[in-house]
Amino acid sequence: MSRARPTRRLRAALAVLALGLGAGCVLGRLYREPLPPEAELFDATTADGWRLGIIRYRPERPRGLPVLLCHGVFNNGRILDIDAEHSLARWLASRGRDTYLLNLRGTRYSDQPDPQAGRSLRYSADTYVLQDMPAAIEAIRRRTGAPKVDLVGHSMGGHLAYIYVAERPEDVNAVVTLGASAHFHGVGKIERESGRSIARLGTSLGPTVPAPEIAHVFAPLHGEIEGPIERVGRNAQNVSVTTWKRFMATGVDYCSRDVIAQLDLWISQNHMSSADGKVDYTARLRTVRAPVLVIAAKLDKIAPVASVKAGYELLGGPKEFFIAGEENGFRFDYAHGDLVMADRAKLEVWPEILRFFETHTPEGLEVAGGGQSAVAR
Amino acid sequence: MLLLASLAAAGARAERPGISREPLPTADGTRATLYHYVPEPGLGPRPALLLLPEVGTTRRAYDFDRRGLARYLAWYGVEVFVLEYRGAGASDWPASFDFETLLENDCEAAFARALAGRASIFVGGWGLGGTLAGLLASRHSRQVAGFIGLQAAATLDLPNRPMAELVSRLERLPSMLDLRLASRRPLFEDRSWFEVMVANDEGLAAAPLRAMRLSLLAPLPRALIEDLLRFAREKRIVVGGEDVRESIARYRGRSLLVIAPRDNWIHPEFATPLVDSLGRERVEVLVLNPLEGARLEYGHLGMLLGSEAPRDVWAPILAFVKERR
Repeated sequence: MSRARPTRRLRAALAVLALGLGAGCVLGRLYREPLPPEAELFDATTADGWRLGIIRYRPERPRGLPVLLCHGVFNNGRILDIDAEHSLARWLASRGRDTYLLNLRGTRYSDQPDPQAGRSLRYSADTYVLQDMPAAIEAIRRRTGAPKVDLVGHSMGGHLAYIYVAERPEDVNAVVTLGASAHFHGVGKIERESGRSIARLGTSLGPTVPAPEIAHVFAPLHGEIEGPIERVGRNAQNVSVTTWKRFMATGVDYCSRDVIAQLDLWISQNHMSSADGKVDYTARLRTVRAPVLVIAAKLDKIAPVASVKAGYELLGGPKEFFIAGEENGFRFDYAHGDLVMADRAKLEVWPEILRFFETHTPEGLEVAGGGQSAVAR
Repeated sequence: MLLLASLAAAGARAERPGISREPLPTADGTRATLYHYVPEPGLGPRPALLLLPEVGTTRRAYDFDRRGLARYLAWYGVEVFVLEYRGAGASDWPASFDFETLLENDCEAAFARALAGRASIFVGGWGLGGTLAGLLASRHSRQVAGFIGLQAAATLDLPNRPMAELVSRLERLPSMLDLRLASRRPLFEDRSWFEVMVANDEGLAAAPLRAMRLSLLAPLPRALIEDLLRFAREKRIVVGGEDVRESIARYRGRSLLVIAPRDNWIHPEFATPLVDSLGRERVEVLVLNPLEGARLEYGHLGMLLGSEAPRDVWAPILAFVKERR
């Protein structure tokens, strides 16, 4: 009898847990935003055989170069396209830019790892740069005839943009990074230790980190309480509970253990490098000659202003830096996620991106009809 | 009866730290002012701390409306000296002075006075006052028991568009810029420079900002403004021909650096380089955001006078000063 009690309790606990998981998954999916009818989803195939889902928003009257948006770790492209009111992609398209959302390998709109089909579980940030980004840019080239793109990267997407423009400057006209740091030694205890702790936790969960499942389990709580994820990710004055829930249901995605391990390496050595540590990507920022706009968020705890500014200081070409916060006339100070999902981002942050790209549009740009754009050679 | 007695005791204790003001002659003959907060006798060994205000301010950041870090520390047995620079409050108001003058004259005189009869004292400062305190610590390393930097600046820059625009329009600097007047000008909508840049965090939501601005800010002479602009343009603070990051790095004692992430005046990225200058292994860092245990995200003035400052800022400073090594 005394032995049965713990078993019964364990069963009850497991049942409650399963119920919670089920309810979370159902509730989480209620907030998942479908793609709108105007979105075009097509594939770009990488040299190593992965199909990547690219979401295109075609403008009515195209102008300028196509814009490629790149998301960060544990996200997919939809963090930059949560809903009609919180979509950098749709906002840029509504202002004439032919806009493309990259979904990196292993995320919702792209191929998943499948070793039997030759798609390895082992891929890193290097793979994103060497395989996924060139494939996306080549697909855009084929559709538009444009020899270059303007590139926007949020969080790790900003790191990828930095690395890519240093490695392949011939593909990129101008770059905007949002909340992307170049060194990783925060000064606070949590800042110093949390990144590595999360990385260790991530790499212990298996070859792929099941972030969407984790997000779904806690779906009812997202934004309702000011938990650690909320504190790190958003300023509640800028991002509503509904937007946050939609983001958690729509924009959170899988990530390979090797990507996390590479980020862990960056944190430990305090600069960006190749996964084997042999190539110092941060040092290469000095070679960047393309114009870069670096935007930091005043309350960013993932990429603190000091760390973001350190990258800006290294860049070798025309560059601008500004802080999304009250000091520059914003209504509220911004946090990491706010840069792409704040209610007022379309009024306060995104116009800076458009202005920067327009300022650095190459002379002699001619725009063809039908959503095709091309640079006169 | 017990309740009445304890209330009476509490009322009496509020008056306990004795506060005196003394003129402070400096090397060039100009008089600054030193405020001395003396704890009541019998509280055991009394560490002493010299506090330097932000440049362009009075002592009021440490003692406003009978509340502040200076009174708090004195209450708990720390002997506190607060310098009021020339050009502020009861000090002499010379026609001109620069950053180095403050260090060589006012700060040095205050340090000598606070040290008198003691083997060592703590030094601390707020903003550019923290920079000056760090320089004192490096110069007098053996007599400094610890250095406290409250958003102490290691570098400067033009951090935001309003500042950059303001500087670009400053073709002719006034001989004296009265910050009390300049900072009340509207900057964004109905918010003044003071509210956006200095008094911007939630801890000051219910604070009497007008009274704070009037009692806190002091005029800045042209020579000092030119120094600050030069620091910002060169992105480094050079005193005596040396970058202060290198000078302060020579201090090998204990340090507590308090970083306010929401500071729009001395940005956190201007303060954090001191962590590496002083050596991460020797520095205690207190980052004032909720992830690190603070109750809110702090700005420049809120870290000293905000509603939660006693628990989030003053208490860790007291612990640092009281800790025996």
